[in-house]
Amino acid sequence: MAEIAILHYHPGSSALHRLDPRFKVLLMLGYIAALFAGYWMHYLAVTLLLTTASISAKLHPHSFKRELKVFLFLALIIFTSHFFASLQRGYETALQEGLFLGWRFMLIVWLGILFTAVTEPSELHAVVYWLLRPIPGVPAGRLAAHASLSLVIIPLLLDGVHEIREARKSRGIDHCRNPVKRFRSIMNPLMEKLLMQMEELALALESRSFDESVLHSSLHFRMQDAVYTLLFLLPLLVLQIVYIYF
Amino acid sequence: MSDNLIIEVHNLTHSFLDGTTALREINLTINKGEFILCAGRNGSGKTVFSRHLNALYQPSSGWVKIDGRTTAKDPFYARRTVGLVFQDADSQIVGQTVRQDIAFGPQNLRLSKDVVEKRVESALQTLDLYNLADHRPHQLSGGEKRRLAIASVIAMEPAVVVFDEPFSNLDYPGVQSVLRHIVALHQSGHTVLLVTHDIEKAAAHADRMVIFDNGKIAVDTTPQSALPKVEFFGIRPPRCSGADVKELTWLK
Ligand SMILES: Nc1ncnc2c1ncn2[C@@H]1O[C@H](COP(=O)(O)OP(=O)(O)O)[C@@H](O)[C@H]1O
Ligand SMILES: [Mg+2]
Repeated sequence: MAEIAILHYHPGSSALHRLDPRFKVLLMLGYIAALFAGYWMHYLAVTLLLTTASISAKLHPHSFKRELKVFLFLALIIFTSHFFASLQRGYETALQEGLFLGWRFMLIVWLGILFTAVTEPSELHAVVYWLLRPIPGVPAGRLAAHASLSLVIIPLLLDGVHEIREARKSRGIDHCRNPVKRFRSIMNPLMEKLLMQMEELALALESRSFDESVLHSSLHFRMQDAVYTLLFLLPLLVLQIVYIYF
Repeated sequence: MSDNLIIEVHNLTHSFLDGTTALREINLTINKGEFILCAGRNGSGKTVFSRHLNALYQPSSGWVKIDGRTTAKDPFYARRTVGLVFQDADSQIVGQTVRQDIAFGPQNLRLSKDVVEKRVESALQTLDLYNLADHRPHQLSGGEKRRLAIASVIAMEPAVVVFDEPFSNLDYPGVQSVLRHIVALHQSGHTVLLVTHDIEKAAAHADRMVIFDNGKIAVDTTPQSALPKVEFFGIRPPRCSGADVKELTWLK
């Protein structure tokens, strides 16, 4: 069966895997905020921190190689389009801004990969539920179940794309140069297949007495998690202070 | 109603919204501890029928009773009593690891953490999945996936287990290992309904054979007396015709 490595949970027992998912979300939001603060030192710091985190979570870049190529290509498009669009403001500004945008895009992709690799859908379920429950009138159970189910669906979706593409290739009809046409020729069978799979998944959930208000992960505050999170946020906080005051 | 009865199906008819009538006036009773082989050509209604037994589908007319309670009134009871192993193991997987997938059902039943843990351990043992407990389900082989699907169902401790074509896409050792587990479940007291058209692989273990044809039950008898009729209903007869039913198993 087609197996795509990206945006999957990668079972493991690293500190990052075991981190309270609330802190995982906090870390991710912190990093995204830092990236939009828009100073190259932030980018560098996030890059270094993500490298450290990925190594400690034992994620090997070669297992994402094929998918990363796609994202690198997108980053290149972002870079070139921004470069040419802002060329009238000077060659150096255009180059620098283009590079930053491409770099930031890759960092956000990396964050997404890392987050899904170390977070189980059931943990996401628990966090979303925890966040939304205090808000009156919000169906926290249902929304949380949707959030975690969409993580279950992503691999099905990607596997579907892969299978359909292989089937097309083996029948020699993958030579269409028009990217819009190609996209459509994959999307139609994909959507059909996905709808059928969703129907099966819904039945499978029901036959296992699925109950959206049952949490499959429980949240426990632990001091060491707070320390760990602080360690990974501190460099960015320091940078931000330095950036503002000096 | 005899004490031994566990499933009662009365005049069950199922029509889909698009007008297809998949089941027509089915009548069937199943006793506790029976091992029933369910066969029939593609599209004869076997899958739709098995989904009625645990209340995934509701009758268009007629009724299904599990332990005397109709699936229309008490679908949750039906779901707890009848476990269904889907034909497509991939779409049945919801957990990110083997262990979590098995825990999913028992957790939904709001069992305590200790009980869930115990059930997961015992399902892992029973289906020989111990070494794979922390693997990603999508990376398992076909046979291992099928075993996971069975483990996830029996962790909910149903009295009846329905297998929808559990041998499809499996190699020889895969079929053997799945079949061995099905037979062991029957021996440990479960009522088993095995949907398959490979009667050669498992008929020896069944007490009874039911053949579906065009949404109806055409034959309901012992495997031995059903054998001569199977070809007529689009089921491949065993290679050596006239063979003793006891020979029809891949467990040797
Ligand atoms: N969701 C559906 N909508 C419409 N028709 C369906 C649906 N599912 C099954 N059918 C039809 O019901 C009949 C019985 O199907 P099924 O029970 O899957 O057969 P099988 O014996 O091969 O398992 C078939 O004619 C099939 O086309
Ligand atoms: Mg079927």
